[in-house]
Amino acid sequence: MEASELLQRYADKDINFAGENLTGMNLSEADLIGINLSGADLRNASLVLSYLNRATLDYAHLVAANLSGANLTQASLVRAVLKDANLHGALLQGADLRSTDLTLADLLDANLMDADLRNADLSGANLTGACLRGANLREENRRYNANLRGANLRKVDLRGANLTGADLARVDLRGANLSEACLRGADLQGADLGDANLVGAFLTEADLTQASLRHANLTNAKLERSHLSGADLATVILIGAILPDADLSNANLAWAILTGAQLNRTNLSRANLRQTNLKEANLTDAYLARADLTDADLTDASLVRAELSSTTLTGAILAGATLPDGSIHP
Amino acid sequence: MTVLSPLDEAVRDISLAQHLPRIKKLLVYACTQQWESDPRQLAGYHLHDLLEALLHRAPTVERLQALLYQLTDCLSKPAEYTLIANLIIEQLRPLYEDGTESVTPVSHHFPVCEAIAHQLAQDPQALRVKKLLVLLCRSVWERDAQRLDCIPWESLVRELYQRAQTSDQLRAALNSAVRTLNKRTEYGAIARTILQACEPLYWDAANSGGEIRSNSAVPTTGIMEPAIAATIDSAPPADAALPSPPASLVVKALDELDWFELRLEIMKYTNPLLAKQLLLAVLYPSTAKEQSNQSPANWQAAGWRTLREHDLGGLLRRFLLPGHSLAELETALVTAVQQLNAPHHYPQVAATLLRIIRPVLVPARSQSEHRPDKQAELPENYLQTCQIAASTTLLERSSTLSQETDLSDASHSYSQTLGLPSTNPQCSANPPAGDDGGATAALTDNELETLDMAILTPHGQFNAADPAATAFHGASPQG
Repeated sequence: MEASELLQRYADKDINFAGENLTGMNLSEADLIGINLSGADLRNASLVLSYLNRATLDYAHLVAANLSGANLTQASLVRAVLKDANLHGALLQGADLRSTDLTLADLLDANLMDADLRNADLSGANLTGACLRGANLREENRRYNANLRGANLRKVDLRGANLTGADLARVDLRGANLSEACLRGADLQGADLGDANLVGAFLTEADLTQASLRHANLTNAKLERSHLSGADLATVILIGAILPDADLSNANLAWAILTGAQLNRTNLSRANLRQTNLKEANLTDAYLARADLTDADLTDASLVRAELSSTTLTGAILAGATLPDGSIHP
Repeated sequence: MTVLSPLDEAVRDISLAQHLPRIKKLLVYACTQQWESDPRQLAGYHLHDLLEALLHRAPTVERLQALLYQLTDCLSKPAEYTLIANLIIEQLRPLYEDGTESVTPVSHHFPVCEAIAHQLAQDPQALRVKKLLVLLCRSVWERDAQRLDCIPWESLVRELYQRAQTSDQLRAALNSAVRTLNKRTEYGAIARTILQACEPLYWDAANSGGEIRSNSAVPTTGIMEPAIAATIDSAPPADAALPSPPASLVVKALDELDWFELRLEIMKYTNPLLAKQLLLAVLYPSTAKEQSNQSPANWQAAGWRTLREHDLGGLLRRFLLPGHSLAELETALVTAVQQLNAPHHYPQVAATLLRIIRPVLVPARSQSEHRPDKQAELPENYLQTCQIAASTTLLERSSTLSQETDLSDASHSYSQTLGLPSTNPQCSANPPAGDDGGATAALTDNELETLDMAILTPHGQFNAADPAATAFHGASPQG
């Protein structure tokens, strides 16, 4: 079928092109609102800036298709194969992308607001600058969850997104907006969260082992029982953050701001806390074996029952701090 | 004993600074226009060479400030890099003062300083005012009330004048300082208090021609290359006999989350790809020329490549951060829309962009700051409404015009049809015809003068040589 024929039939109110072979077809800027292309073969097709709002593309083959700037608002793409597709600046707001194969797809600056991405495979996809507010990436069960392994999520907007238990190991999330996002139990091992905004984020029991969080803002974030062993938290902002029972062993917290943070029972053994601001922080029962607190500011902090026997406190400011024995430092 | 040259001293001090990698990144960016983040590549640059190149590029401390603030504005961490820029400026300041006569406040300013000091001390927010002044003058964020008490107000005002010898410099310094603070809204208000209180410091300079930019509605710091700034500043003050321009609107300081909100709004109400293409055409006029008359889907490969190198958020920052007025932003968009000449696509995008940026615009400066002896003749809100209404009308019509006229005539027709101001102040703009001309029709000639016409170049500069811009500017309304 030629593109002209398809466009003519569509103009004649025929919207059903299910299962058609449309490989390599040029339909750029075409108005195909509501078209049915289920199971159609659209490999290498050019659909740049096309209007595919509310189109049905379930099971469609869109491998290497060019959908730059295409409007796929509320389209259905269940189990569609968009491997290596170009979706640069595409509109996928409210689209149904359940179980879609988006591996290595380019979603640079795409609008994925409120999209259903459950069980979608986004491994290796480029989501730089994409907006995923309200997108559903929730893990339904171990076998039905979005895969973001190796994806590029730089500057992505995931504010308030539900990423409970998501696999984000080694993902690039630099400069991302994850404020108020739910990352409870998420796997963020080795992830790069430098400059990310995690204000008020829920990271309870999240695995951030060896993750990089340099310059990230975690003000008021919830990190109870999180795993931050060996993480790079230098210059991070953790004002008022909740970290009881977190594992921060070997973490780099140099120059970090932890004013008023709750660090009860945290494991800070061998952590680098040089020049760290711990004013009014609660370090009750914290384990600080061989931690380096050189020049740290512990003004009015609570160190009740904290393990400090092998801690370096050279130059640390302890004015008003409650010491392990309950006495107040003058 | 070896005596270090001032440059060597600066190199030594900077090499011992805490954020050396960031300092180097900014220096490399300033000298090479390339953002280098690879530590191995950075190690290949020597501080001495970089500082020397920077001094060559910025022959005065004002130009250095302008250059560095312009660069930091375009970065994803403007607050952090503003601090770095301040550090570099402080380190290099002695080098500029070495060879040139250091300008110190003239003695007749002292009674003024005293009066200003008294006024600031009486402010209900005096503590915050002092904190901000100490930050500006001494680069220290002093929280201790007792230590703050020990610093005399008057000496702070004098120090401030030494550091910022024009109101533009003071505004730029305040802006950059506020950007580094957590409570930006609160300290933005404090900055305005300081700016207003310190106006008398600059009256004499302005009256004696010391502040040559007083006729320009555009804050020059951090926007234009010095040469271009000079061109604009030295242009004959054609409107000298006219009332001073009322306040123009510029983008207020935004924090990280605000930028995400802005991007979100764009994604909600327009096509992100088209928005990127349009912003790219604004920021890279060469791209606009290359892709002229192409349908957006058929952009040439080079255009797509450039498009992919930039993300929407980054383009938006580069578009907004140099601090141009709404009128300038609007003109830049209209010019790009014209050049791209795809009337079915870009006018809607441009109108949407203008509508979205509207809430983040604030008056650039008060009228009294331009001309201390004059009172504002029109309420600020009225002028804002007029400007925005005019902008929207302009964009709404651009679609029709692009279809009806060829590019060479389009700009001329724009001025006529939309009642836009001519660069010739003697020419009164024609009242617009049609129903949707109401907003602009309400504007008087003088108010229309506020809709400054300018074209943005890749670095947010004004490009008077741009042929399209010339055509646009030079259009004198007929009839």
